[in-house]
Amino acid sequence: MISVIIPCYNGERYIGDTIRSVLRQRRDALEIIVVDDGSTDGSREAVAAAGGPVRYLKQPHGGAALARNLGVQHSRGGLVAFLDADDLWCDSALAALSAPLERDPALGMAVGLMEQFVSPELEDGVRHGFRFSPERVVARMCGTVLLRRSEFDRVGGFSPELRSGEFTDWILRAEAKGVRFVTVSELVLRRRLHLTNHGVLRRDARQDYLKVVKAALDRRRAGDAGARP
Amino acid sequence: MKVDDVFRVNSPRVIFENIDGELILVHMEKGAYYTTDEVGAALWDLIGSHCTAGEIADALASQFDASPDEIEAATRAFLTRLMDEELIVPDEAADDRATPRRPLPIAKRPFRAPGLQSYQDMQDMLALDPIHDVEAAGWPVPRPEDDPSISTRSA
Repeated sequence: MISVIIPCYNGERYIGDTIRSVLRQRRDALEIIVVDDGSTDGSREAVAAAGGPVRYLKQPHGGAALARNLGVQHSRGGLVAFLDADDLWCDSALAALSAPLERDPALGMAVGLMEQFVSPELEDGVRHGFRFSPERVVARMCGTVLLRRSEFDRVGGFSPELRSGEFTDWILRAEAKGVRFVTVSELVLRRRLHLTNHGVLRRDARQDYLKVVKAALDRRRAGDAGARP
Repeated sequence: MKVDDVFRVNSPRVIFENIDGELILVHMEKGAYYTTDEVGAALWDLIGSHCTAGEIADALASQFDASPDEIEAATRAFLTRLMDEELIVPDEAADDRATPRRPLPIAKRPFRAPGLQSYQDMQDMLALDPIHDVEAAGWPVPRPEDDPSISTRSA
């Protein structure tokens, strides 16, 4: 079974589209868990309106890291994927990502391609303000990776003290633990750009990327020192 | 580069912080990150206080033990490198800028020309921040209901 965990904080506008993109996956044995991170908008109703077998959990507002960790605790799948409440999966995303993991038990993670799009309902003036590459790129981010649950447990959960970069931090910790990953050359994620993107709203939180980088550098140096005879 | 050239950090594309004694820089648009050494970090602090290239070299000469010529050459080279990496950009000298405070001439520390280490291995993860060209008009202010931790402020 694959567990799909979607943290949602005031995501009423787009989460219906996100859930429907999961329901379109050509894949059986799927479990969808939405973790409402203390939303004050109509997220709950939007989740219900999207239809499909979705488990809805709610926590007091504590950030995406805590929400994802809670989702994992309540999940049952041997494979786990995370998706943000505004992004969309391509229909064959899970089929493409799960194939190598099911073939090779030594693999811990599969990564696919991502492309960005500007949310179509935005006014022209806003739409044209976004600068982004239209190319399909490999990006290790929420929504492009499928993980083996046992490897997730070995690396540990997302760091709740990070307000940004917690997914990057997790990937870097996974690298340090030697989690083996494979890249799948198929488009899996369509990332929505809009004015309420976390990175747009919470620019102050970007400083946390510096902590993530510093921690990764320190881990590498400790590893290098340990590797010396 | 002239001695009275002034620079500023290439914000908001560049973020930086001194964590546990190590200066970390990230260029969010390029997805590159950088580290430097003691002299580089001291030089970076001086850029932040709007010093001219000449004042930066003078201030470093008061803290580190080397000939003024050596320090000036190293300062120019490092500023050029930072410009090439788009970590700093030229700035207009502000009229009201303060003259940098000279530290008391205590024992000078040994000088080594500052180095900048550049890393690209997290490019796919660091260059993901959405970029929206509203910087001149101000970043969009979230409505208070979007985030309880942000209070309303006027435009």
